[in-house]
Amino acid sequence: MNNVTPWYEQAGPQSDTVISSRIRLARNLSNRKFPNRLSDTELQEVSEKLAERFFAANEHMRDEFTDVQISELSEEEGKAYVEKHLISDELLERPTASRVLLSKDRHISIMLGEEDHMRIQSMRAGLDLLTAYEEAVQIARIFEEMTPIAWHDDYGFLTACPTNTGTGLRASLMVHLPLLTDAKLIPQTIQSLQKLGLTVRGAYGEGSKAQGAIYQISNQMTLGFSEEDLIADLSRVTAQVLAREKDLRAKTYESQPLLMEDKVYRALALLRNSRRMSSDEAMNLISDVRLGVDLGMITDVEPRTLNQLMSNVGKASVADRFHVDGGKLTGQEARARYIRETLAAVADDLPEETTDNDKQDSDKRSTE
Amino acid sequence: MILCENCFEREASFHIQQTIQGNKQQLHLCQECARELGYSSGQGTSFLFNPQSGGGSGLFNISNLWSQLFGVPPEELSQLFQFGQSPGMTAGGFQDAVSQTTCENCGMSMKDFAATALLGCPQCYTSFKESMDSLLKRVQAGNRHMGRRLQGTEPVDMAFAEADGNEMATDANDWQQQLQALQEQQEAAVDKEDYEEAARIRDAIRALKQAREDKHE
Repeated sequence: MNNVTPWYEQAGPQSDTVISSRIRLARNLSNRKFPNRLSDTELQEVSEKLAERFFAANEHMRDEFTDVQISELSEEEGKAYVEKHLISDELLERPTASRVLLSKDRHISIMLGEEDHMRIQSMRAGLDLLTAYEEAVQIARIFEEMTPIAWHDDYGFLTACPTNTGTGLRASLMVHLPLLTDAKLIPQTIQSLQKLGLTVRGAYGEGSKAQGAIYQISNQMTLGFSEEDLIADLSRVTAQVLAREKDLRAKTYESQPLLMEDKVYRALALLRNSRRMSSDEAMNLISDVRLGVDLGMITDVEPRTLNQLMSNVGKASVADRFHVDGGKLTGQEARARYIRETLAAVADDLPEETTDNDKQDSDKRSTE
Repeated sequence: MILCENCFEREASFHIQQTIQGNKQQLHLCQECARELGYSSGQGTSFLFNPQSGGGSGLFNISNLWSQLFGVPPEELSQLFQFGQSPGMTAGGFQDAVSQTTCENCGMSMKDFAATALLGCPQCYTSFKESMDSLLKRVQAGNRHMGRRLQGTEPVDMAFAEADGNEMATDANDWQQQLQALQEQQEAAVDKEDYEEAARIRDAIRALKQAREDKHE
C-alpha cells in the first residue's frame, strides 16, 4: 500500500494548532433500503453500482480515483486505513459488501456501503473547512446527478440514522492541544463545547484516550442549520479554544522556558535514537516535538514530517508497512527504526517500503 | 396541581423519577409533552426506546442518541426509570411506538428503530412522520431542513423512477430538446397558475443548465 499521503505536504492555515479539516457528507439512494436492512449481497450490488455510476460521470475519474474493495484488503491494511482516517471502523464490518473510492493523494475518500449508501469525505491540511466542503459537495453533485438520491422537502437529505439527516454534514477539525491537556482543562472544554452543539473526542487512540493531545471537534447537529452556518459555528467556537491554547503556550513558555525546552528536546532525542517504541509513546513524543516546532524551538524538523510520522506510526500501519508478524517487540522495533530513518532523512528522500534484507533481518531477530 | 415542567401550561400527569449524573430528580410532564419528548405511558418501566446495544455509527451511536434524549447512557436507563401515573390517567403515550405501525416499504416498526437507532429506508421518514417530527425537534436544531437542496427533485417517493433509464444528456441535441421540453412544461404550469409546479420545473431547468456547465468546465 502506498504509504505517502501527499496532501499532508502543505502545513495549512493555523497549522500550529489545527492539523486538518474534514468534511463528511452522507447520502443515500432513494430506491433502496438503508444498508442495515440490506443483505451483504444486496449491499454489494448497491456499492458496485454506485462505484460504476461515479466512474461513468466523466473519463477523468478513473485516473483520479482508485476503487478499493474492502474484501481485498488484509486485516492490517484495513486497520491501517482506519488509522489514517481514510475509512471508518464500521466499513470493515461487511467487507464483501463495501468499498472505498480513494483520490490519488488520499484527500478524498468515498465510502460505499457503510451506515449510509454513500459517505463522502474530504480532508485539507490546517484550518480550511470551506475548501474541504466545496470539494465534498462537488463529489456529492456527481452522485446527485447520476443516481436518485433520498430526499425529503422537510428533512433534507435522508440518512439511516436521524442524527445525520438534513445536511448529512459532519464537519470536523483535528486540533493539537498539549497545554490545555497538561493543565487538565480538556474535560471542562468538552463540556462547554457540548453546550454549544459540538462534540470532542480523541482523534487517535481507543476509547477515551487522546493520544498525543490530538482531538477531533465536530458539529453535533445536521438539521436546522445551513451548511455554511454549521461550518462557521465550528470554526468560530474552535477558534476560541485555539486562542486559549496559544495563550497558555505563550504564558508557559515565558514563565518556564527551560522546562518546556527540556521536554521538547528530550522528546526529539528519544524519537531520533530509540530502538523500540510503542505507538502510544510515539504519538506523545511527536506531540511534544510538534509543540517545539510550533514555538520555534526546533527548526530542523518540518510540520509535514511530523504529519507523515503521525499517520504511519499506528499499530496497524506499522504492521502493514513492515510486514511485522512477530510479537509486539518486532512492531516496536520497526516503528522506532522508521521514525529514526524518517527524521534523519532529507524530506525528499523519505524511505518507502523496507527492502527484503530488512525483512529478513527482523525475521531473524524475532526467532532468536 | 403540578404544572408540566416542559410547557408550564397543562397539568402534569406523568411523574418520572430519574437519576442524572448521581442526582435524583423528579420530572413532571403532561401527556402531550411526555409523548413529544419520547416518554411512553404504560405499565411499570415501559418506555419508548429499548436500550439494547447495537447499531449506529461511531460518533453518533445509540448511546449518544440516548444521552441526547434522556441525559443518561442506555445501560443505566432501565435501572433508573420508575413511572407513576396519576389516577384516572388514560393510556396515551407515543402513538407510533404503542401501535403496530410499520413502514409500508421496508416493514420496520418503531420498536425495531428503538433497538438500533437506525431507520430501514428513506420511506420511513414519511411512514413515521409524526414520530420523526418530534424526535428530530429533540435531537436536532429543528425539524426543517435549512441547507442546500437537491436540485430539481420531488419529495421521497418510492415509486421514483430508477435512474437506469435516465442517462445524463451528453449530446447537445438531446440537451436542447430536454431544455425545450422543460421550458414548455414551465409555461403550461404558469398558464394553469400552478406556481409550485412551475418552481419545480424551474429547479429542474437550473439543474440541467448546471450539469451542462459542469460538464464543459
